[in-house]
Amino acid sequence: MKSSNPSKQPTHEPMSVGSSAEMTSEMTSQREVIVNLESGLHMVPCSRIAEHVRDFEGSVCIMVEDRTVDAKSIFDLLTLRAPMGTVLTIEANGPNSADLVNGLVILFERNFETE
Amino acid sequence: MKLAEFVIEDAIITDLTANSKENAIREMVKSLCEAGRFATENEENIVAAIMKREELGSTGIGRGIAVPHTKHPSVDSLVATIAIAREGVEFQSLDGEDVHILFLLISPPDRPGDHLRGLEGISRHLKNDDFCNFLRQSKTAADVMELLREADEDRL
Repeated sequence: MKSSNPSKQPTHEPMSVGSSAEMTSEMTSQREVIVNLESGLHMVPCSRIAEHVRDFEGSVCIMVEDRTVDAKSIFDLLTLRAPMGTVLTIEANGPNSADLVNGLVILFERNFETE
Repeated sequence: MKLAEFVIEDAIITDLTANSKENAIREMVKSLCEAGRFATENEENIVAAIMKREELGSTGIGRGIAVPHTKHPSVDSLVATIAIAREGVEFQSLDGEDVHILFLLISPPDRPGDHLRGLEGISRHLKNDDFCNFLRQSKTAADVMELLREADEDRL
């Protein structure tokens, strides 16, 4: 009965990180990020993304141009082929999706602490 | 990027028997060196660079697959080899499983786009269970190359 658990209800507060925050519905959160890694979105950041979203109860996808990949699959993430400067859209659907997306945005903003 | 364009047939190992991650990487690098892709004097340095990269997190990405890699100035274009380990290699993989398929990549430091395109090409095919099963069944380097060409042409 996950849907009846009040602690799992999404917040109605506006997302606090950045100005492009968008809550597209109660359960769906979406944000844009820019790849700021000289080597692009290589295997280390892809691993960190997959690890970050692994236990999320809903779905998470990352979109670039006309492609959409499952952020829980490192194999999918590695097909993003996103060099430095690429704008990606992160979309999560499920309980506490805003927290999850904000966490991913912070990973991008900190360059995954790899460079 | 098509796999057959950067996987070096002469360096493919279809019966890798290494008993550790480092030995697996060492054998694959040696194989690329013997195939003439870089000078022997660079061999140890490349092995060390790949092992250092592994310290950031294992490239054993699950499903029995590992993609060890590094950038190195001794190559002027992306080169790769494939190894198939029948018995499996302990690789500290993300899912804890032994590795049976290894793709090892070396790319020039100044061409990150090539590295990303190589990773994309490899990952796109490794998502396909048929591709992985056929790869593991390959007995010779020629079998592997034929499979890569079929995959490149979406004939699987």
